[in-house]
Amino acid sequence: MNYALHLVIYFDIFLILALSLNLIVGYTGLLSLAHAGFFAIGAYAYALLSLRLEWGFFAAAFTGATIAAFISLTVSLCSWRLKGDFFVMGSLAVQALIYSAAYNWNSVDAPLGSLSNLTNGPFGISAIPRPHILGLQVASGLPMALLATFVGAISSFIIWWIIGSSWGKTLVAMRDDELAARGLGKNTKLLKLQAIAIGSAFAAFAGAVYAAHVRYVDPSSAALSESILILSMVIVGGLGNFRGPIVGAAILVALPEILRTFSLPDAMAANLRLMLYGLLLVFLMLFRPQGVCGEYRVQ
Amino acid sequence: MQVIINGLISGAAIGLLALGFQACYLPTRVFFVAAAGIYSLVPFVAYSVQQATGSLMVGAVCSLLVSAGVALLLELLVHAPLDRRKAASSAHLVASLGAQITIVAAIAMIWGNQPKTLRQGLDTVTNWNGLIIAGAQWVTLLGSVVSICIFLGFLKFANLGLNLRAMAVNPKAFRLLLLARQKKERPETHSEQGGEINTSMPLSFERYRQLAFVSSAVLIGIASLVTAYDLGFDPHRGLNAVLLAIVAVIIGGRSTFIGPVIGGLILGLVRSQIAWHFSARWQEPASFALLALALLFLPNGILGDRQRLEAE
Amino acid sequence: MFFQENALAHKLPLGYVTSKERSILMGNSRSLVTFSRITSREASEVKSINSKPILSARNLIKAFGVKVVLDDASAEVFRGDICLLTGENGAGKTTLLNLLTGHLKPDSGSVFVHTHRASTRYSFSVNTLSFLQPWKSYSPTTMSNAGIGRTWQDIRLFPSLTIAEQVGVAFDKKCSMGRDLWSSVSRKEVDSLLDELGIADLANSRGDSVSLGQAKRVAIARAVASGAELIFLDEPLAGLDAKGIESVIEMLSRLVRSKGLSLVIVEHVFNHRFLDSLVTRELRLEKGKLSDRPLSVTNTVSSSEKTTASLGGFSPLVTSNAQVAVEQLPRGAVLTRIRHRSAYSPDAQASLEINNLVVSRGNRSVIGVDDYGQENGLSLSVRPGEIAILQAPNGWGKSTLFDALTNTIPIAKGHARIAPRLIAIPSDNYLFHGLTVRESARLSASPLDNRFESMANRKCGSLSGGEGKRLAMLALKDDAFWVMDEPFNGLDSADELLTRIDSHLAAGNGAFVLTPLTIYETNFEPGKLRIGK
Repeated sequence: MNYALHLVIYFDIFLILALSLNLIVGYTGLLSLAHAGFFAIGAYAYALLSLRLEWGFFAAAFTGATIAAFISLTVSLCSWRLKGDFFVMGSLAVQALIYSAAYNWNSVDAPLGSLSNLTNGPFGISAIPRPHILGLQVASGLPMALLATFVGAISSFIIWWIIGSSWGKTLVAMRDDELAARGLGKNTKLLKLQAIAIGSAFAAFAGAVYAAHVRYVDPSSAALSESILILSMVIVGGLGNFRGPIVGAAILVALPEILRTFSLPDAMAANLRLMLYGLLLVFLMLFRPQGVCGEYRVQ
Repeated sequence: MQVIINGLISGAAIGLLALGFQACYLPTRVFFVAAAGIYSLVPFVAYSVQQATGSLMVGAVCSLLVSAGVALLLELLVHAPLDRRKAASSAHLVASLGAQITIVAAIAMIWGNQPKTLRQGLDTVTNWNGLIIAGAQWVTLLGSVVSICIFLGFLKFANLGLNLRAMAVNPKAFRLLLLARQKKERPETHSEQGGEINTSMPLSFERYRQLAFVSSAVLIGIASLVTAYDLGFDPHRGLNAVLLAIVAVIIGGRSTFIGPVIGGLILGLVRSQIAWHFSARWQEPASFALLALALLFLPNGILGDRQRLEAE
Repeated sequence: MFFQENALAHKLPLGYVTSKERSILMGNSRSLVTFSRITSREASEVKSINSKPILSARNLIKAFGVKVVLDDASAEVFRGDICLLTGENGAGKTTLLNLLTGHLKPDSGSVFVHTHRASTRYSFSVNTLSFLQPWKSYSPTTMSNAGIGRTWQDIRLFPSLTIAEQVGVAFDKKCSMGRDLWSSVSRKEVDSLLDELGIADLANSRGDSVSLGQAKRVAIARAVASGAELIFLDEPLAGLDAKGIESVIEMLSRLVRSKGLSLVIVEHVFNHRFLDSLVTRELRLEKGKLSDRPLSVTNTVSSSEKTTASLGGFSPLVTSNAQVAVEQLPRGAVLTRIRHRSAYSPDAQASLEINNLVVSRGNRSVIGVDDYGQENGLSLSVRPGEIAILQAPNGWGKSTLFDALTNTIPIAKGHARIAPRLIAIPSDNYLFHGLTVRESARLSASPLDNRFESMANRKCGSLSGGEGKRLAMLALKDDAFWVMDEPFNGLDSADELLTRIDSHLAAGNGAFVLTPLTIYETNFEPGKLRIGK
């Protein structure tokens, strides 16, 4: 039972990540690899704020989202200057910088959370308190799963609403033909900035849920492999519509569980899983570049 | 001085890897991330062959053959079909990323995650007026510089190299050129001339693509072997190394073959300075900060021509 | 000049007259004429607006490298003007259009915009400190928001949005400025515009599924929806059949009448006659300068000019031992064959054989479509000793045909066969820029002659247009079939190439040339084969 709840929470987290990355990749056409960075920013922000300042869940999560939105300006800057593969590299640079900030921002002498030891470096932050909402502690198990599902549902609803709005249509117009969109008076730099900021803020929110659930964060949550995992989720499910990322998140949460039934040794199973992700990406690009149920192909 | 020498040596290895990446990227426009998988794979193959035969040289040659084979396979099974379908460049990138993940997972499954080393016993050290250069560093330096020179010379002077450069500069015109080279005999003249068969069958566009992939894989393999000989290896170091090479390509100028080499040297120098003055763990952030600066202020790189990155 | 316009106005159907008169009045503030029929309201409107042009460009200079496109060009467009922008092929009409809509920045000069929404002056100079004034940036976005819209030669509809959505997106200025994220244009507003412009039935079709003529009209509707008061139209009629042309013209005249829109139209000479009823001014771009030209009735080319022009510059090949055959192809294209009397034999195996060829770009068939939009396929053959010159209007699909013949894009139906080896020179981008001239010649195994010796070590990218073209021509060998797209483009003198072609034909080889149609012959009888000397 507890394990099933754990899966539900993981699905919620990946759902938010996939939907928010879809806003960037599927709706602005920018293949960003920085998403795990913003996820980690949210996780660290929640961890520090709840641990050091004893903030409640939503206050900490919102603060993390705001910080992520600000830092996402670096990705926007890349998107203004770079195209195609080189934007991917630019976003990768952002991701690498966030990762190394998480990895290196520590000092043995200073207390955790102080300016010289913000992230505790490679050791990560452990013993993160359980989330508090309105002063009440959310217990692990069902309450935590309800909280995650609540956040997931609200996020999904907001993203669904955004992509159906005229703003979402304008994003699609810009993705299809940026020059034509500019010729119709659209400020495409601002549109990209907005989309990237909103997407990153949601990723940070997912990070807060993750930190509250696992109660431990380390730099590996900002690693490139996390970004690739989220990206493959979106690409597998499909880009450019609402249901694609949901399907993608479901597939990539279910895949390890299916592998588990073969009762392989742990190291073997992990590698096999990665191998399947890789092959899935290759085969999708070859035979179904729009993903399982997407509308847009990566350009 | 010691720091600069160290920087130049590691820079040469980065430059070689960057050149290998560029050898594929320029002619085919495939962002060959799977090079990271090949980079990880090569020393493991060399290691196994070395264990079996006892000779590192045999291991090195075998591993280079394997790396060329893997690259050829990727081209034939993934990139050539994608190219035929006129897939976008990001589709190549994502597919290549997928291939990279697969290769690395396969390596970890076969050989495990533990770091290994190709070198046995202690390293010899040359001390020259207080400058210390280890034997493995000599291998890195010589291996890289010789490979770089051979490949650049091949591009400059050999006919095949010239064709590769032409393909890199203007693929569309290169296709037309190959079309003009094709000898299609007219039916009526064919009978008059009898059985005269054109011996020098011109290479097709697909062959040149394969050539690009194979030469890229060989360069990447050499770069991987020399660094593995110096520093040891594990399955996961490929992606970081290739990312670093891509940074070198962008800094040096991504429209030339020499640019990546220069970019690699600069990167090596900067990284050794960082390691000297601060700490080795700031090397990665410094490299990517350099990339960010280059992208924003020198988007065409040091040697790049004035082609614009942006739309329009 | 003034008299002519007056006469023209009277020729027009009544519906156009008001806007016509108004535009005459406003378009030429120098010539003060009043018509008794103009109401007092219109007169006051005239007074308030005609003092300032809606868009004025002063002393614009623009050069690409060594090629100067605009050299001190100035022009003004007044409210209600329907300008036809004319000029030779390659004179820089599209560049001018890009410059005036913010898609390119002039090297120097100034642009003054004076619309209902904005009144801004943009100055350009070589060492401009424009980055110090980010709010005054000269971009497509700011120009469009100021009310200067445009359409594109290649239309650029958003493929994954429906027509209603495209127009709605264009309507909604506010959302992209970020102030009103959730605002959504009421569907009614979009529908009423679509209805007004006669494209309401397309509302729910996707951008990539409408026909070319419909797409052109949607593009105009989109520009109108974005609030444009002056629209630059880049070849709005190119590639359309008669029915499509009619519906675009009808839509434009309706817009001019109901919305008082100003237009600047770049259109191929071939289609100018369709615009006669609309146009009030002609702006001529010549040698980098803009000048007003009196409105002329099109096709005023003398008959002698006509024959030479109809051969697209190949007339010197028509000598005493040449035969000429002309036939008309669908959608306004003309195929002229020049045959070398001694080398040509009608029984010989064709060097180029095209059978029922259909080629598509995206999901729209381009080649092999007849005047009525039927996919009948293109068929033609070229035999040894013959050069076939295909002259077609812009938008006909010349470059698509070139790409199909050179295996760059797939063929949808039918087939094309080229017997000996093929040497193809595209209209542009045929050089290997990073290579030296010597290396480039080595690639095509052609020896460098003495003209190139002095530049053998220069990079191909540094060659002038003419030098580059001559370098590309070095690769032409006699044992091949030649396909050339706009071969004279960039050449200072055609003589050398023509001599080359003549000996190529005399040696019993064939060639196929694609060129833009410069003069359209209205009195042409389709299918008639003329044998001349």
